[in-house]
Amino acid sequence: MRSVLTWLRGEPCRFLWVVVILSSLVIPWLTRATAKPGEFYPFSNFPMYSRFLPRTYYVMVTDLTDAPVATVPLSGQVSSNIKKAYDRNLDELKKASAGKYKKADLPVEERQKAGAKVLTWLMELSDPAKLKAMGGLRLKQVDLFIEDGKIAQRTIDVGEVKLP
Amino acid sequence: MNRCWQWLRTQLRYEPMRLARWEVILMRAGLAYLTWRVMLGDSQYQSQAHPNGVAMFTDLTWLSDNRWEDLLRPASGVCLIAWVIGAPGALALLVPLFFGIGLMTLKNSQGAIGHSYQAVHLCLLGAWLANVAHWINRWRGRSHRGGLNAGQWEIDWSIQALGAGYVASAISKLVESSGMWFADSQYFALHLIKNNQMKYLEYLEGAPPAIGALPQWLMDHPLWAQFLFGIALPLELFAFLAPRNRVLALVFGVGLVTFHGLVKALTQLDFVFNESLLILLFINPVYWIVAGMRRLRV
Repeated sequence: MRSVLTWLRGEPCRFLWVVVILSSLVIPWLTRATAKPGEFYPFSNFPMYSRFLPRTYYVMVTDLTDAPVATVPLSGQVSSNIKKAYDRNLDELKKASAGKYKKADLPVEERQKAGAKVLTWLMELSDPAKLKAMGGLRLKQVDLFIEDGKIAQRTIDVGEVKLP
Repeated sequence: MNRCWQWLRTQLRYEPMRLARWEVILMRAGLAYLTWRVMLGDSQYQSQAHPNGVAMFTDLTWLSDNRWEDLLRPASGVCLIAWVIGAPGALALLVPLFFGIGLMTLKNSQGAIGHSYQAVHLCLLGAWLANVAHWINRWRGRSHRGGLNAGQWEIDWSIQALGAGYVASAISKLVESSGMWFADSQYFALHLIKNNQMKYLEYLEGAPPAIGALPQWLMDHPLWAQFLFGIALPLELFAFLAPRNRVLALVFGVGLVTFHGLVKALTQLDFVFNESLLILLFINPVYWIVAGMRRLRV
């Protein structure tokens, strides 16, 4: 510890290293019990794209006839926000399962709970007139993965919320 | 070998950037403009269900109250202008920092963390802290070790803050992927499809993006994928070298802007604020144009 401090004192760009240590060590440790460890605005350890797995997914919002819905004009939410909200709900379900499931192995019924929560949140942010015309929303999870060396995809329904 | 080592040491030397007065004003103006851009738009968040940052300790929803927004936004604008024309950052940046960080903390407390604006506020925070450090030093009768004045010091810490963000990002890549980021970057092909689809789904403009041949080609030629995307890791990891001198700042600035451009061209993933900061603080094109013209005259 003392040698680190000695080095830091002699380093001309020490503010940089203070921010690096804060963002990469101190804040991730202090926020380890939160839903998003490492995030304390404006500090972040920038975890996006830190891992490339041979499988990923995105989510798609559709109307009740399965036609895709443009999310920004409807709710102001970009796709990444909707995916992050869905992903956070999956994390919570995984935690609640107390080790029974890994996130990737959550059954469709569990995913549908996460999907319903996301759709409810999205509907609260949506333009009421546009939403009324559609009668409700569906959420689909599109998995992308490698099968026999080729890129493959699979779509599963993970939520449906109808207007009362 | 010895000559190589000598050359490398010369390139990596620390040479404080003694920015001219006009450079400081230009960089302050750029940073102020980006800060202003981030705080535009009516914030409508009435709750903070998933608190992040200081929202974990205090309620920030009052910042979405139009009465406060209509007061703090113009006040921030006036303070930013005052800073650009020479008001001490320690005072002038207080309101824009508080309002900007507060608004974005509230936005990030809605359940999804965005990473578009952190760099802007980190750089502004760096400038503010540098000015506070300047006044503390002055009060103690000391001066900056590198001989920088208050304005140069502010920009120096902004540059360091920007570099720090990239280093932290590289460390996350190494830790999260257990050191396999470079090897696994061939799977970027899947993210290429994902990001294009996600971008299309936001507005449904034009024809739906076809999967196309590129992702499969990248899967079939992993070395190419690793070269194209794996290059980001050393660029980010060694970004701590950028603040050491103007040439290194230029090299890392050009490298990172090129990488952001490549990612945007392939995946529609935009990092407008990061690119703007890199151009403003790392590349500093006006300096190089002026230096080039001076050289031509001589």
